[in-house]
Amino acid sequence: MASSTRRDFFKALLAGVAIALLIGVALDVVLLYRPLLDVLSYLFTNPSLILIHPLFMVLIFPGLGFVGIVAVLAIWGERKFAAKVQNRVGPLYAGALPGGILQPIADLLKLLFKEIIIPKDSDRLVFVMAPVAAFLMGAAPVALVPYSPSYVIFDFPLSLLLFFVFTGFFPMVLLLAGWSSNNKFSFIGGLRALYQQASYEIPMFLSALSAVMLAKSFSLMDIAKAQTGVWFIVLAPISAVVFFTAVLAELEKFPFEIPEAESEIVAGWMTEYSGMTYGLYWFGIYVKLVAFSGLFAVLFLGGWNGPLIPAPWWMIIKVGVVATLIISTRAFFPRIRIDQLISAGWTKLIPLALFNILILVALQPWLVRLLS
Amino acid sequence: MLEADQGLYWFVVFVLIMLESGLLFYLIPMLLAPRKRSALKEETFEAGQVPPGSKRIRFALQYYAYLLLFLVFDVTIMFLFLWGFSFVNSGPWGFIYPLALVGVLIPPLVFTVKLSKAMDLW
Repeated sequence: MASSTRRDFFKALLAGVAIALLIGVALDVVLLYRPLLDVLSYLFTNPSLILIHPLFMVLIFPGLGFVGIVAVLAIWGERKFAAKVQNRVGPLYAGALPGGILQPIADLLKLLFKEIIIPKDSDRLVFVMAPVAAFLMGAAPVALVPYSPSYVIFDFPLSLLLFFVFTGFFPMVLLLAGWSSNNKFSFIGGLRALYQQASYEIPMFLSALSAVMLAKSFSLMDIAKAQTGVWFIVLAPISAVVFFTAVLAELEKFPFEIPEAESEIVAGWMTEYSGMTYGLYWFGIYVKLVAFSGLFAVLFLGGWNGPLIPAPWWMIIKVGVVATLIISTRAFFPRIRIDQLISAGWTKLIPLALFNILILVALQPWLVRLLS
Repeated sequence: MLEADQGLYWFVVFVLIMLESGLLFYLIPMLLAPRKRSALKEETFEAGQVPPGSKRIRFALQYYAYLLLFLVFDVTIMFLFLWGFSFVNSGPWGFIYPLALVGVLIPPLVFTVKLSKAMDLW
């Protein structure tokens, strides 16, 4: 009896996913047929117009294609860099390209053909939908990061707050995943993600606030425009350091890789996930890495501002540098304990961030003169 | 429709495309991957053992005090954000308001950090 209902659930899920996908494609056709016709007409008249069309932004440059490529490169780079530092070789054999750079693609193909196992004691619907939600919460902020005055998908006056809205949902999804797995390791991992978020979200807000104060706007576009002269990392170095640390905790990168600590709690909240459900989590985390690298570059490294080469290339270089810094921590740091993490967040980072805000308040008249 | 709110329109399209790519990643293995089911495979994973008893056991929430502190801070931070928005045109209140807010935040911080060190209470 029980096994037959489980088989029914798999079939129902397959049908549900297929129907949802069909509805999505139909919506796409309705929403995109006119822009697609525009793009096709540009193809024959003026191909350079395609590069500034919003459809190009959604599908290729700051959108899907760019994020996918950077995420794949980051997965490869993290493994290869850690291997070099630890005197290993790392990924090597996959594909014809040198350095095993196709390894993430090979992994993706492997995961696509693996069985999805749904544990019999789990809350099945939540269990299956949590990876999709996590992927979406990681991907949506990408649309808010401006790559140049024209290359931004959603230029919203409160885009910094909207960014934090989406990233703030992430640990809740992880807690749901941990709870619905009905597994002790998963639930401990989800709880740890929640503690980590609660400890590091406040310093992140406070250090982002200093950029907001300097630029007098919540719009990431305005914040980047305010840094044409001097970057905010020069004016507010403390908050840049605090923000970077909080980003490491937010992304569960190495000194703070506590929620999924492999040697302690198997894989944390990912313990019960298999095949592509696991792959979707993994991909979502790296898409989030791209989003946060972009956010750090916009808030503190001047966004697209720079001499000689065009604006989007500066932004791409800065995103690459920040992402490399974030993934290189895997090779350099051990994992700290959860109580160390929480007390470091509350007793060191938050006082530092508050102190930094007081400094900015004291320097206000001088800073206003400098930036105007 | 396109002229109404360009940015929001393309944001919705972007989120929709991301959702579809996520669902597509589900559909392909569901259609193509081999599916051999067994009772042991669908059992809860517990490092090689068949788990004894209930899986929903109770854990100690040792750091609950910090979660309460998070509530205090999260609300107060919103007021700091409002002040940060009006950074320039603030006059003397531009100094008093943030100092007062930071001053309000310090006592709960000290109190809760002390309280959370007393692990036996939780």
